[in-house]
Formats: sequence, structure tokens, C-alpha cells
Amino acid sequence: MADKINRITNTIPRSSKINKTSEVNLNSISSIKNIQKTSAASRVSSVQRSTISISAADQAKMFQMVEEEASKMFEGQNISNQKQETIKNSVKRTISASEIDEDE
Amino acid sequence: MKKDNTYIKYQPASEELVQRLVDDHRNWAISIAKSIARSWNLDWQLDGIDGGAFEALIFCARRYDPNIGVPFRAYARKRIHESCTMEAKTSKSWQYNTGNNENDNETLEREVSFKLFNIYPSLREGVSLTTEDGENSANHDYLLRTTVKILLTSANLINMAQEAQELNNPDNALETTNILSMLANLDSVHQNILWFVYWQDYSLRSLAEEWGVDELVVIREHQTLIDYLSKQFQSARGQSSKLKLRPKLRPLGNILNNSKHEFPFKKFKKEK
Repeated sequence: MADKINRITNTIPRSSKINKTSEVNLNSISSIKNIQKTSAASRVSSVQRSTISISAADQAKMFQMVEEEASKMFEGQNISNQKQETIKNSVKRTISASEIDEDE
Repeated sequence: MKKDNTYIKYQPASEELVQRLVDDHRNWAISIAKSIARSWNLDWQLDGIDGGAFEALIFCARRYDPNIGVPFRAYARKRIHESCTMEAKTSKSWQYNTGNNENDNETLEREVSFKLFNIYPSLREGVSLTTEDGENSANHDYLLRTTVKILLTSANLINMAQEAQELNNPDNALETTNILSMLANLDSVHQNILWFVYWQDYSLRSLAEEWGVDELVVIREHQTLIDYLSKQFQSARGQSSKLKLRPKLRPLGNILNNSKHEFPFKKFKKEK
């Protein structure tokens, strides 16, 4: 059974008038430049720079490393034992004075 | 870094905030003083290091703004550490020429250590030195070992510079001649970095300011240079390749090369 057809209403909006044509603003068009030479893309830095906190547990390890690396560094160099000890001890003192107390 | 909201309710620089910060962090500041005193074989109270710690603690408490979101200890540690080391240096225990050779050696070790902190301020925050080796950047032990190598090389240079006046001593002259001739072959910028930082006690920041260059560039170039020298020292014949200057410093290198300025180590080598 067909549904009752309701009264047809005007659903088409009234059309507005057509605007007048206006001239094109040539000033807004930027000048054409010469085709630029291609250049290499900037290098993406793959250098990672990391740091870690020096803990009390690291200190003992680093003291051992001081002995190992110092022996490699001083090998073949004519540096007195006293001077070698001074350099090693100064580095150990620096490491010790920079560690973070884990209880802080 | 985890944001700290403990002090957010206080007004920056208010008496309430300052008092609260000093009360909360007094023992922590003392622990920094004790750590330095222990490392340098000093007394944290008799040598006035505690005074340096409290002075810096109050200084930082007055300037701390909790709204920035930086935890107070991260903000204040470097300043407190610096104040403690400065206080230690002016103490009576920090003396030379006591007639006791052992004491003089200990003072020399402290001097070198003090200068290492000035050259590498990040150590005051208990942080390792960086490496530009991306492959190993996440390796904990590698970072520790890199830090050790850099510190040893820098300590060697500091010690050499301090004894530079004693080159009339034939033993010292023999020890340093080889190193000086190695330094004389470096690029002009590298020679100047070493000369001003190790012989003239400039900080890397003040050197960068004088050159009108970004501080971070100079810091990284210095670290690359020290890393290169540490390999040179370890290798009997040294590395054959010369260390290249990073691009941002090349204009400075051109200026130094074209000027009539004589490179510091060539001049130094000729005098002796």
C-alpha cells in the first residue's frame, strides 16, 4: 500500500545572482625563479651522545679501569713512577668526588 | 627527568620556600661536602667545606623556581659541588712546601683533580663524559672506560703544564719533549684549545666566548681532541692520520693560520 504523499514543498533554495567577473590580481603571483640545482640532503646526524650517572658501584670498576688504561698510556713513555702515581691518583680522586650517593 | 611538585605551592624566593628547601636538603648538601673531603683527604668541617656547601644551598634555595619543573637537587648539585671545591682549595690543608714530600704529592693530586672538575663541569653532577661513538653509546662499561681514558689524558696534560716551568730539569725535559712535538703537529685550533685550557687555565666556555663560537662546539671538539690524544699516547708510533677539525671551527682555523700568530707549542718548543 503506497504511503500518503505529503504536500510537495519547495525545497530548492532560491539561487543567488551570479557575481560579476573581476580582474585577476597579478601582483599576488610570485615571479618564477630559475630551476635550482639539486643539492644533497643534509646529513642526518647518526652521532649518539649518551651519559650515565656514576654510582658507588661504578667507582670500584672505574678504579680498576684507571690502572688498566694508565698502564697502556704510560707504556713506552719515559714518565717517572711518581708522576704516573700522581696522575692515576688524581683521576681516582676526581671519580670518587663525583659519584652520586644512592641514598640521596 | 621526573617533575617535582613538592614545592609548587610555595612562592619562588619566599622565606617559607627557602626554609623548607634548606631543611629538606641540608643532609644531602653535607653528603656532597663529605664526599669531596673524603676524596681529597681533607676534613669536611675543619677545612670549611661544609661552609661552602651551606652557602651554595642557601644561594640556590633563594633562586629556585619550582614552577620550572626541575627537581631542586638537579638544579643545585653543580653549584654546591663547585662551592665545596672552591672552599677546599682555600683551606690550610691545601698547602705546598711543607717539607713533607708525601703531602706535596697529595696537594698536587688535588690540584690536578680540581682542574679536571673545571674542565669537565658535568662531573660535578656525577655524570660520565660523552662519547661520539654511536655504536657503543648504550654500553655502560664503554662509557665508564671512555671517561677514564679522557680523564687520564687530561690529567697528564695538566701535570705536564704545571711542570712546564721546570723544564730546566733534564728529567722533566726528557719526559715532555716527545709529547710537545706531538702537540706541535696538531691543527692551529687544537693547539690553541690545549694551550688556553691547560696552560692558561681558561674554561672551555670562556674560550668559546673569546672566539665568538658556540660553546657546545668547542666542548665537543675538545673532547674529540682528548680522545685522539689518548690513542696517540697509547700507540708507540702514534696515529698516522692527523685529527680533522670539525666544519664549524674551520673559519676560525683559517683566521689563525692566516694571522701572524705563532702556534703556541711550536713557540714553546723553540724556546726550550
